Amino acid sequence: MSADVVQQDFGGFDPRFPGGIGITLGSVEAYRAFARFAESDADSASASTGLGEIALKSVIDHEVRHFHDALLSPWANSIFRMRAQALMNGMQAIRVSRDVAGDTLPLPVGDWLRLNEEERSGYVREWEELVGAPVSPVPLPCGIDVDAIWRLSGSTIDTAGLEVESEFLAFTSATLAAYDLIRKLLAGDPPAGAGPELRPSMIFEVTALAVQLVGIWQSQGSDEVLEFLSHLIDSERPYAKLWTLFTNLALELERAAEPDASYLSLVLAAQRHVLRMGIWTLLGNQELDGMAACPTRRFVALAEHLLAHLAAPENRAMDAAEAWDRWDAGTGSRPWRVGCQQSLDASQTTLRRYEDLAATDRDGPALLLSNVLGRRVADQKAITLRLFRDANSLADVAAYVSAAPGVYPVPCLRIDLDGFAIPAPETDPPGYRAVRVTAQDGGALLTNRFAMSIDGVAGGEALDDLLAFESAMCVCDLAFARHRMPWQTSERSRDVIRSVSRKRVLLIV
Amino acid sequence: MRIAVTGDREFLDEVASELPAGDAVRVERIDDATDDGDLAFSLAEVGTLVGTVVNLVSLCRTLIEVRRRNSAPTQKLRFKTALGTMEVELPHDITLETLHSQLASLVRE
Repeated sequence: MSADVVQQDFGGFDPRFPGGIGITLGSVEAYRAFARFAESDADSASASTGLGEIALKSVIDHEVRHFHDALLSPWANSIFRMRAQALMNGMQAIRVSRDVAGDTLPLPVGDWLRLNEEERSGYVREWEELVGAPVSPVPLPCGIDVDAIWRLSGSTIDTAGLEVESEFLAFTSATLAAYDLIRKLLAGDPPAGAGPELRPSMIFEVTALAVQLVGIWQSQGSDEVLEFLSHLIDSERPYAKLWTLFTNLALELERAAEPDASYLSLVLAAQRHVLRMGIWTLLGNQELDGMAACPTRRFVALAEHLLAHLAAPENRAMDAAEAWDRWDAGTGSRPWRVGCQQSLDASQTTLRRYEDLAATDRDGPALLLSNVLGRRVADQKAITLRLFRDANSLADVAAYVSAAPGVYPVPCLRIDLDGFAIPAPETDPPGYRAVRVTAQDGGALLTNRFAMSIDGVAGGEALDDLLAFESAMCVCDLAFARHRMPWQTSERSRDVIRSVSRKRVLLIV
Repeated sequence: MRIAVTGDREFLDEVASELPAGDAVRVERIDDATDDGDLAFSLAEVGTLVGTVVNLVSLCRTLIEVRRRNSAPTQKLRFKTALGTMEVELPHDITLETLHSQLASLVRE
């Protein structure tokens, strides 16, 4: 294989595309290689030329695990519900902004609210130089009343009878309340002085890496698994450091059982404990237990418990549910089943609220939200019930990696081609959507972003809803927060905001 | 004009250390560009250089000089100003005129 296949970024699980995963392919060679791996096990098993190719062949295992953990984890489900709230109110805030005074929307609005008058004047002076005209930002107060915003979190805003400026502020506040909670949940509550590896998102990486590692071993071979292991052990990247922490703890458990095993077989066997520990840390419920449910806090509590009870039989018990019950008791945590059940109930309650709203407002974002949430809640229910019935099927890494297709919810797949395009069909076949299409001079169509359902279950309608949700979520992220997105998406989102708000849109750098 | 440049952390560190002294480009900081909400799998470490540019040509010249010495097969940078965002691929032989014209839409409306 050509060395051009090697790339460093592989896309990922993006909560803005909640029913699917995204893969980025950095060259035509990478696209062709990926297509071959996807179609043929034999190509997966052929020798790889380096880390990039090993990662490319195994990236689906990694990303699908994110998809499943995001459905399982009450923490992640809280974030998703807040995203829905942000979208519901954010789109209305942008719509209402067209009627308020001022000719300019400074983005992200959350940053603008945090600036004082002097800082705002500095930006306005710079912008006036850039655009060569006077700039008049929409009226928004300086500073955020964080307590007031927290009280709005999860609420539905009744704006009847409000002046347009107050309506804009109400929708903006509700949106920022949701983003503020998202920010708090994403940052988590790590111990003071902890490094960047102790963030909730890194725990999601650890479970995905455990699955990816065992997947590489099963489908590629021991040379490839060693190469990937070397990367993880040598890397200073936060995900690698936290995976190493988890693995070292797991090795303590594994060594007690297999004192004479080789290092490679020990590390691979230890991934069983890594996945089991990782999932337990993700099962805390913030709505019931506040920041005590933070995955990183749970990891610290679990590590302390395990190090004090290395020889306890439940730590190596074959049944994950039994170990989790003991860990709940040993760390003073709420039983994991209670947290998962409450999370499912909360998702179902949220879904009903959007279904009710959609019944009276067919043109607003509620209908889209109820469609997307409906499918997601069905997936959350399926995977939660499976966890209750047979925790090992999700927590035993070997069983999970070799599970038959269709045992767990299957995500849609969105593929981005970075810097090149491929022919697009004139009409999308079932279960396929060309998201970005351009016409060549001769009339033939090209695409560099397309989405498809992997198993055909999620048909075109589900894909359309997911893509519409993602577009709207990106618009809200650009308008109100600072979440990263591809630059073309950022520019398209800016165009949407400009067109809906009928204001000049300037970015705060 | 304030500007944010996102890309390979090592590359940006080198750019920051080589920018000419004076007011043409003032670097405020280089942040870790990781997004807490991002579950993207990447082997690269990404940073964001934030600063103020008075003379865009000066920034372009330094980027090109560092790129010529840099052995990575590809080097993509994302530029952000108040007027928008743009990603630019920097081939080893990119010229000052090409880079400057690519960034033109970010510095004037």
